[in-house]
Amino acid sequence: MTVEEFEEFYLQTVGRLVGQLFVMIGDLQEAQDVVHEAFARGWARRRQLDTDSSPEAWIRTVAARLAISRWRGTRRSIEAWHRLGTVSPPPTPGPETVSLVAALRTLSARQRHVIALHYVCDMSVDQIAAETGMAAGTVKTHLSRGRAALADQLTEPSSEESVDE
Amino acid sequence: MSDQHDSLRAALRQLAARAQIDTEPAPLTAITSRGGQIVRRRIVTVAVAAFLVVGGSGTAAALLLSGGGGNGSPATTPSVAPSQTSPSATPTTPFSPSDPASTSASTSTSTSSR
Repeated sequence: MTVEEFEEFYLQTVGRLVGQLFVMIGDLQEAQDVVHEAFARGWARRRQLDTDSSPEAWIRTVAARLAISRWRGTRRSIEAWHRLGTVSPPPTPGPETVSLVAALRTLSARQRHVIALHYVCDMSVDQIAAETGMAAGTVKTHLSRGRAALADQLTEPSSEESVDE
Repeated sequence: MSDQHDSLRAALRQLAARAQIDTEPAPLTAITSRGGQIVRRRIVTVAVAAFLVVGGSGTAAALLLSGGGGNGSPATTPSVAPSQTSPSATPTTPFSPSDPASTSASTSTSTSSR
């Protein structure tokens, strides 16, 4: 991938990837940070990115892994972005976003990952299994449990009553 | 069930779209400079690893060669000790196979010992 190709790839995909990672992580600032870091790592190996079938999937996977390792205490690479001073804090989310994000946060990290890939990236169970390295059955389980948990969180009392009737 | 899936899909996509709008991507120069940092760090790591491997194997080889040569040869050269019963140049009692008395005597002593 040449410099121009990488620039075009970055401008086309960065916003979409931040949106996807936001659904996975639940924090916009963190989603921005990990996506930027994943792109920087992609830049460091942009010659190999050329041969990859899907560079966007590579960036997404790296960003998701960074998010997980950040939870484990690896903050060094993320803090580098703040030292560079290029990232401005995101605006405060609205109440609908807050409730959905709060519901997403009740899920496990894997469930959020699978849910985001299925519903936001429109990927099938097999595609998710290929990207995450999980077994298809595990993906189905995470998807089903995550969906059920979200339904529990997001269902309003009035709609529950109507379902009971 | 399908409506529930569709509404969940719509809500999550809306959430992602809103995040996409709200996000302010870093300029490409920041990405490339950070990528350059990562490349430099990787080069330094590889160089240090190579130095350690070459240096370590060189040290190990030097130790093996110096220590191995000393252990291979004995500490002191063994001296040739003179034998207590050195053979004389001429036999004192020459062997005579044609002597029947000495032959029978030797045969009888060998059978009696059995």
